[in-house]
Amino acid sequence: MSLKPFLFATLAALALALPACEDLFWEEEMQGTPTETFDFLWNKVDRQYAFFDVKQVDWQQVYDSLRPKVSDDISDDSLFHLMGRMLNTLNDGHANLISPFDLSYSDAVYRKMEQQKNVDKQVVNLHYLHIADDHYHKTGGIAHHELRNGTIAYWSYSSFEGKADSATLSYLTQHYAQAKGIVLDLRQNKGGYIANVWNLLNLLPNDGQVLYRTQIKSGAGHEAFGPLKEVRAPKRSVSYGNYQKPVMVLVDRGSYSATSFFALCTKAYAHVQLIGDTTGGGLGLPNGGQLPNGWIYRFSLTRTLSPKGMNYENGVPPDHYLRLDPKATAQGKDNLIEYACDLIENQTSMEAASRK
Amino acid sequence: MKNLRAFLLPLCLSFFTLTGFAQSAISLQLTSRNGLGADRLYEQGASPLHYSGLALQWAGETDFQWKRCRILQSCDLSASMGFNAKSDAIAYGLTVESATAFLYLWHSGKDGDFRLWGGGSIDEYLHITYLPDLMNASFSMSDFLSLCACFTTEYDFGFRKSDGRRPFSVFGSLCLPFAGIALRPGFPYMDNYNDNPYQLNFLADTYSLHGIALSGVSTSTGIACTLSNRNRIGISYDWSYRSSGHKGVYRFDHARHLLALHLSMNLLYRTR
Repeated sequence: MSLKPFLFATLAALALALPACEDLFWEEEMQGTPTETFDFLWNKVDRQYAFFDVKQVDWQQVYDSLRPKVSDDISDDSLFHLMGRMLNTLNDGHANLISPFDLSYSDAVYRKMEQQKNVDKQVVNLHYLHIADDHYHKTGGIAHHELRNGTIAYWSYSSFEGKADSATLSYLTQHYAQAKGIVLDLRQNKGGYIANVWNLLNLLPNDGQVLYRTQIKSGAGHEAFGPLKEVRAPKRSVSYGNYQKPVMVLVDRGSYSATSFFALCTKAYAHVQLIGDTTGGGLGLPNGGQLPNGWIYRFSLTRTLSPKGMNYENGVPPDHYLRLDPKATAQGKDNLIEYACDLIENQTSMEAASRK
Repeated sequence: MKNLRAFLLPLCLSFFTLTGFAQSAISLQLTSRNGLGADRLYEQGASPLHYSGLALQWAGETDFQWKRCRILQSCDLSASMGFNAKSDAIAYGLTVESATAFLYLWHSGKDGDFRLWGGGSIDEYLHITYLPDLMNASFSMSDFLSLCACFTTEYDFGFRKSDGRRPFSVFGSLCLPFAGIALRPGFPYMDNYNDNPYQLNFLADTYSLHGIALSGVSTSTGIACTLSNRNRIGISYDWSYRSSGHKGVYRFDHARHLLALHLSMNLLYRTR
């Protein structure tokens, strides 16, 4: 018998039959039942969440209390509510559950942001940014105005999602080149694109100083982390860089995520000072994924430590603690901005005196 | 004068080399392969769901034959868009695959109508998954470098032409990546942190290499017609499957079913 029909038939049959057997190679897709979905998320958090030590949460106890309430005939609404409650026990603004019909967020974090607000936006907009006086300026995502007869620059950056690229910062530094310093208002800035943090940091002189240290959750245990990495000030030559004059950064409990991140980095610069309240925190890198029923989750799986090893996940403390004075706001004054301006003027006059 | 000599010398050398090859039973074919079909993706680090959708492929291949030896060099780019019934999220995929195969003619009928080639190949397979709806889990990369066992068979049929050749041929091939290394992320990572070189290092550190056996399989079956100028036109059904398996990393599976159109240009004719 000739070999060739046999060989040809064998190879051709394999080439056609293997694709038909493809399902044998694949893992079976999860069904997405409520119990499966609940367990999937609990396990993901258990293995990957980075802040069990800081948040002091007994994750097993959370499972034991909520899991009995989940059954496969539970409604989507009820399941979402239960799983949202599970994530909210972490008190983490970066822990969210997203479904086509709802978004869960940590009510405790947002309550703190709102109740401990340290800014009156109306006062800032009317009396410092002059929004109603036809003198309002906004470059990229930064609203700005001069203070104290043009001697101080006031920049209000309300979200790190707003543009703060090199063109924006080049314009602003040139525009306020004669100012003695900058008041950078980040109160109620709830974060955004981390790339803008690096853009702002490029404004400052860098000597390769350590800004923070970071670790990624790497194993199943709650304290299983990868190696600690030092992150240093970016070495980039930008036209607006090397700003040596005083920079006063205003923060409050609403300064969250990327803003807290920036606040932590400012600690590495002697001429930059934080004024106001402790920030909202949120220094972990949130990482998301999908659940077996198609919903989306996210939570932090890295932790960020100060160069000295402090974990500021619950908030970066200011250098000058100052609460908003209601009497001052009633008179159209923001005592934090005024305090920051005073600091800049004092520092400038002290420097001038020491030079003499 | 110098410029003229610089131009003519390589030209003459190329001519003599090519005519020399032609005299020594060499053929060289250049093939473009364009496919359309279905794609299926499983990126466990980002989602426990399978994404199925459309795939488009563009590929180029050179086929160099000398006596009973054959060297195939191919480069394949494909793009895909996958969906899942349980959510509105879309999974985008980009695959770049390049392979160099060394084949030997194991069996050839008396009249040369049936040919069975066997040998090995080095295959580089890079897949990038982009799931923009999954915040910060949107991007992941899988890379496989494999040694493969490859078998190809061709059978010519139809009326014989004056030069003794038959115009039609059916073909089939099977390729098994039996050993290799795979690069996979510790977890799928994200978009806006990669603006900083330190973060890039941080991301790169989450990727790890591991050895892998039998990371997939690819097959092709088709039919081709050889034109009078010895160029070829063909159509094939191609299937490929890749998997990282469970190796302490998030599992990655990717399969493609493509209907591909082949257009081959015969650059050098092989004398029989």
